[in-house]
Amino acid sequence: MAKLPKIVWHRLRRTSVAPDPPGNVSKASMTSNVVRHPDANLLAAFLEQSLTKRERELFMKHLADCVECREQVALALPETRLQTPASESLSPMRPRSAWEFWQVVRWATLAASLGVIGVVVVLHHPESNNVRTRPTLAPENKPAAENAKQKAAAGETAGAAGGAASVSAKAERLSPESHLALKLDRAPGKEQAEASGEVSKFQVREMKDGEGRAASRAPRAPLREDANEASQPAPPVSSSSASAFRSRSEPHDLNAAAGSTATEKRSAAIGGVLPAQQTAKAREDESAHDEVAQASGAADKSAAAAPPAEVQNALKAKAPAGAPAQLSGVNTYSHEDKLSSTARFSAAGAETAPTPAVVISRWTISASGKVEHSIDGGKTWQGVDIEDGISFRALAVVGAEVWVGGTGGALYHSTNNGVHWARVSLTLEQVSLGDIIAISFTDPAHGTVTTSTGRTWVSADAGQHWGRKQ
Amino acid sequence: MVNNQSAKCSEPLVNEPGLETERIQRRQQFVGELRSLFDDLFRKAGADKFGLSRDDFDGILVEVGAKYLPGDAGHPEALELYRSLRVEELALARACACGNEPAWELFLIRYREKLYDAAWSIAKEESTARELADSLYADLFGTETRDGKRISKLIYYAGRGSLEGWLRAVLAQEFVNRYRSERRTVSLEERNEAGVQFQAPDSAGQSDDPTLVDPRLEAATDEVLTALPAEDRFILACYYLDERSLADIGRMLGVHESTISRRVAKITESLSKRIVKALVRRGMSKRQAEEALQVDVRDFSFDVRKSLLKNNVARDEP
Repeated sequence: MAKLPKIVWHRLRRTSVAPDPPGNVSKASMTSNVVRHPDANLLAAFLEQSLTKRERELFMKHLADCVECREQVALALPETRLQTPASESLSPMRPRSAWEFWQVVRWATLAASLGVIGVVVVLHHPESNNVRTRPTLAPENKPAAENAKQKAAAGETAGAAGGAASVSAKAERLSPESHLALKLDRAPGKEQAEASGEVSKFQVREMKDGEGRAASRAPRAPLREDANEASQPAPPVSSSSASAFRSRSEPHDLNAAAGSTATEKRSAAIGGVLPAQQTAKAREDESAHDEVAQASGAADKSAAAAPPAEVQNALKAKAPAGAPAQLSGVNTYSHEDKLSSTARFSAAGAETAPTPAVVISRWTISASGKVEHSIDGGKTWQGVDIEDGISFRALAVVGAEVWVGGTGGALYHSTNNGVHWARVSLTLEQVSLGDIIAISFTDPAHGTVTTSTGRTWVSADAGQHWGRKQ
Repeated sequence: MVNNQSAKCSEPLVNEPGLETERIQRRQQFVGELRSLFDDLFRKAGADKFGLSRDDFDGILVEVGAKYLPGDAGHPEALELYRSLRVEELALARACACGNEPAWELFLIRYREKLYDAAWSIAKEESTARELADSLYADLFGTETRDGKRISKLIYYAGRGSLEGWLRAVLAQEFVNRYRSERRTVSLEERNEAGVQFQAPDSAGQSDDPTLVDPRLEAATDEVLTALPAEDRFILACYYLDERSLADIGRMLGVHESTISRRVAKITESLSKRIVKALVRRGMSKRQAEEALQVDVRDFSFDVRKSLLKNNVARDEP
């Protein structure tokens, strides 16, 4: 590029107006002989190319001579970066690398969710279709050790390994052919009637399919068995049938299978179809399933509270100096603890609706002051009932910790992504706090709360203690 | 105002009845168009949702027009200005300023995170950005009171640009005012640590020395710079004085950076040629003019007094 002659540089610099205290003056003042600076309205309109031709010319003349206004224009330029997720942008002051951090957290959550789904499928598999044992397919492509490991991991996470293991252990012993034989040889009675009825359904299906496959009552049973492949070892079956099962189940969604299976089992149990023994078994399975559902919440909690090593490393690399490298999942509060309906909601949701494969958590406050949560990136939202009669106005999210504030100085905190909420008192004194209008956490330890009375409260220990900022 | 005077000058000296009737008819037509436009804008703004009456809204529009329309603005210009206003955001901002709760809640949902993001992008440092955003947040909410009434900064938003853009502009102004003034109050210790006492003298100061530069060169340069379009001078100032990148300048003007690159090259080249021509008009030959432009006498500044003192000191030393 051609070099600018030095004399031009000096004369150009000399004509730049010395910075004056800016005023919020209108365009009319710009035309006067007194040097005035354009207001924020004109500045914004200039950057958005919405000034009139005459205004733009005057504005440009001023900018050519005013170094301060040029600086303001440069600072006011909008960023051209990618849109960040809502949960990230609701936590102000987060640097750009947080996008990468959330990518890692997302994948870690996916892995944990898949593990939980496997456990749920395993627990749903036995005893839900009025058969004492279940045919299971040998996972041809996976070594038994890996299956045992997965089963052990699933059992530990679920916390209902005892019941599930015993049922699945029984299933292991029988081959599909012997399972079919067992069904056909059952004693008469309700159980037999149902079994035979189911068997006849199965037989009809077998006749239609013309394949010697292992019996399963529900149409989606092959999918469950297919899912069981990943979670527990099974007696070997003929390779043709196994591959047939797999090929048949490939187009289907594993999550949908797990969800519908749960629904069928539940409806069967509720309908009283099962005899007393089986009903007890079904109740045991239900309770095991509830435990699984709650444990899945616990798994999520543990996943959120104690992220895997790679996430911790990412945290350490990207957290500002002095910030804790690991999110604390345990907080002790000097205030009352309150279990919200969110926990029940999340458990119910796990039972009846398929869990999305990837959880993208987002938080928002509706126009009516209700807190809302989405786990699918904002496609669907669920209301979160924290406290009746409070209109929430401020929200801050740091990892799995969520802070919400609203009318009457109400401040609530959750450490497990909204499963449990605890009310936080900023002060023990009987003073009117006003409404909480802003909450910000630069890191999990340091937070600021602003109220409508103009007061600011700060905390340096993750919200355990709050002090008024003078 | 100069504009009003020129408008008056353009009026006919003799008040002909035909012209007067025509003027009244045009005025009535304009009023009708304006009323219809205000109806449309009121509907578009949804101001009634936030408790703003039609009269309130009309008052806001008239206030904006009075502030930003020049005295000699024609009817089409006035209509164009009103059509360009962001009336939805204007209604929302003014409703917030009046203390309307639903408006404030909607504002929080839409703009709270953008406010903090913009503060961070301006300050580039967390604590400063948070302070900046919190301060503006409080001003927008209206923690100050006057005569018992809460004063919100949102009352100054006029809808010329988007509300988000206005918030960003306010943050930028506040940042420049606040932190520029703080830079002036740096302590002496900090200045010493930064090595200020060893800083080279400002070369710009030398340009003020009239004995160094040919006055014809200065005059020719000033003449050419004054004749440059404002946008060209703005580009030169941004690029050479402020050292902004081509991309940033392009974003300011709404064009691609390659366009700015070509313009800078073109402006610089044509500038030199015009200065040479101006110098030739002032009595220099072309060669002299080119040399004067290429060589800056200040680069060869020689202080005779200092040199003599130095020589004396060296001679007196044993």
